[in-house]
Amino acid sequence: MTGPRSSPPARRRLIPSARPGTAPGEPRLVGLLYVLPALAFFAVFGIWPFIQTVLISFTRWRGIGEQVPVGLDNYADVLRDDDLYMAFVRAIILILFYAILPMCIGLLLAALLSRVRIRGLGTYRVLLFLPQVIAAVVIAIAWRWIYSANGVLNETLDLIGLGALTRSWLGDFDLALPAIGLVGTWLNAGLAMIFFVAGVQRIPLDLYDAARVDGAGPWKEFRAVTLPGLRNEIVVVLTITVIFALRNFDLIWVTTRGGPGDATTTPSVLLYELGFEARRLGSASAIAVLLTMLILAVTILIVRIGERGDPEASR
Amino acid sequence: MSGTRASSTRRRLLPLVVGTMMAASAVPAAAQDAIQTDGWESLGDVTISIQGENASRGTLEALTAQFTAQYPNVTFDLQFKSFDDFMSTVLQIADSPNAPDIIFGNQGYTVDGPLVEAGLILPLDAYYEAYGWNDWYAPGTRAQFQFTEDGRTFGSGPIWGIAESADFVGVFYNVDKLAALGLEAPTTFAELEAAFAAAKAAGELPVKLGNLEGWPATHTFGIAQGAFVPAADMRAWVFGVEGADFASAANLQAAQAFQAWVDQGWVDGPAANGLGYDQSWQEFANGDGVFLLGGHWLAADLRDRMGEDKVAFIAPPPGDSGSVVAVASLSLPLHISSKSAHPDLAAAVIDFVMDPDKGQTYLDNGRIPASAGSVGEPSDAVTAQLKVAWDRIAADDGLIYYQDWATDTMFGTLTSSLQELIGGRTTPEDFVTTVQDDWAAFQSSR
Repeated sequence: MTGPRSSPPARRRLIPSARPGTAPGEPRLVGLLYVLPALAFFAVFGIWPFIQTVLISFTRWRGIGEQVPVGLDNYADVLRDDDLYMAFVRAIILILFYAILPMCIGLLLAALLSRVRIRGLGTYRVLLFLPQVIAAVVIAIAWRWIYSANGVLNETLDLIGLGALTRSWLGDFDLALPAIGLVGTWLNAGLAMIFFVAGVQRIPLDLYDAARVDGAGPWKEFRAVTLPGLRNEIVVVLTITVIFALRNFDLIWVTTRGGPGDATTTPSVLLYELGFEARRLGSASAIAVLLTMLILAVTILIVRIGERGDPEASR
Repeated sequence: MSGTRASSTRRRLLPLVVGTMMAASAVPAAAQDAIQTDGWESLGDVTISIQGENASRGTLEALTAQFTAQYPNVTFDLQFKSFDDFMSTVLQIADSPNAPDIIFGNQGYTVDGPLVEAGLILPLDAYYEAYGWNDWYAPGTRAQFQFTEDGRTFGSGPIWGIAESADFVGVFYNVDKLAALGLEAPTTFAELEAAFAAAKAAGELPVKLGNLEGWPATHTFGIAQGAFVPAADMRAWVFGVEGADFASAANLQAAQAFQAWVDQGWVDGPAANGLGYDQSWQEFANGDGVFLLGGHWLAADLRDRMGEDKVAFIAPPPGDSGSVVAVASLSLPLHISSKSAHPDLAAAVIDFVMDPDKGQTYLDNGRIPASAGSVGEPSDAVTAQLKVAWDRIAADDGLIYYQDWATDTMFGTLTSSLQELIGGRTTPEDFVTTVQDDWAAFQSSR
């Protein structure tokens, strides 16, 4: 482990000397110029709105008129509210459906593809990835039909003799959240698969040959070769899908509007209701800031865990 | 001009009187000046811009064209949006440097309150006096346009808006299905519930409800509320009058009655919370359900799909009091922007398009004009039924408004707790308490 880690500083030192005659500081200034357009864009549309959100979260404001400073009152209010904690619990349940399940499905597919050659692989890949290309609102409307009382799901259940299970899925207090969660699973499994299949192709075939020569079965091979080889892809997929789970709004709003009752009210739904229905922009901004902090913390955690003991992390 | 209007002499004198009266109260300077009510032809070329909601498109396009015909130098820039789009942008539009002269709002603390608080719209009291608009509405009806100047107290203070037509919730029924049950249109709440029972016994779905969005049930529940709750009590509650209580015995009875509808299977509870509003009325139009408890605005679509003799509308059948009480209000208020260069002309345009003698234009567009003494004849059976229903609601002073106007968060509280009541996740007692708790918290922080 220590060997590869020590190499990057050495490499870094090599770069300036590879271009003799150039002052050491110069390339960096030019580099800044290159990133300036992107940086300006990010500052105007990313950083500045966030700073504004933080500032608004310390005020009482209805979207127009005077912003009345209230200190930390908004944070005190929302943190005293049981609804917010329940909303975060639901967001964490959604991580299971939006991130963990798709990752498992993606890994399964990748493991299969690393051993078996499948005809028409490209077609399957396109089909599985297709949901990623469709607008979330369209997906939500389609699934609202599928889950409705006379929808495809209930008709299928009727057809195969499971009529007793039919219900209005999105109207069911216990099943509405898992129902939406499975839409996220369907949506993100394709994303995970694309990453993992690409990652598997990057793993040197000799590693598989070596594993087979050593007598490894499919499970052992998966654990010893495929899984470690996909570490970086797993970190990327988890980061993307966990962020998606924590901040997802469109899928939930279009399917259930946070209902029935509060059964699918996540922090982002709560934020929308407070900000755009009740027009309490201060409280809504406070929730936005808390949600951003949670997402940052979780993302850092995932990346840290992913890097721990990873021989490639320092490359 | 029709006979219900003030004479022209009175019109010219009134501004002076009003101006003197208003000077004593805390009305902004613009309203204290003498008001110009005619002579628009000498203004030169003027454009009045109006930002409205889709429901007003037909009537405003027709009536502003008539105004231009009378004063060719006055033209209009009309913009309309769907309800949701409008509500999510109205504050920003009103706040923009080139805000429209006339902008629609929405009653309650989430739109009109902020508009008043930010000083973006003008008080209309002087125009009410000058044009005799006070005669159009009962004081209880007009209160929905009143706010104190700080935008914090709803239902009292200056008058900031005026509305063209009436919005009200009532009972649609499938004419053939009710006839097949051997029943006449119910005239009392007891008869309505008896009809539900008869429909259920005959294997029909008594009440079609799609409540995925949560708010449709606030209208359905309003039918039960109307049978038990005095209208004045609920109006006082919406306006935050001290001592008003949603957790009253009458509201509890209404909640229990509503829960019984679900328990009896008259409303399909689990299905209702998963069914979208649009889909529900379309399924009703296709023959699913004997009754649909909903807003009058569905009338045109149901009539067009079912035929004007196959669907009928009645006001909510009254309870023991004998008075009709309904979830009802005037349509979205029109406001005059405080940034308008021609507020007097804007008021004259409002007076022109809402004059009682323009009633026929509203009826032709499927809207029931709000002003008393409005003239015009409905051109089809369903619109005629709407007019009969509204006249009865207005005559009984039975408007309870939309209960979600009561606080800024009431929409969410009411919709989610009604879904819970329908889903059997809460009791009628807890439901009325939850709603009252939201109200009490808001009133103490207001």
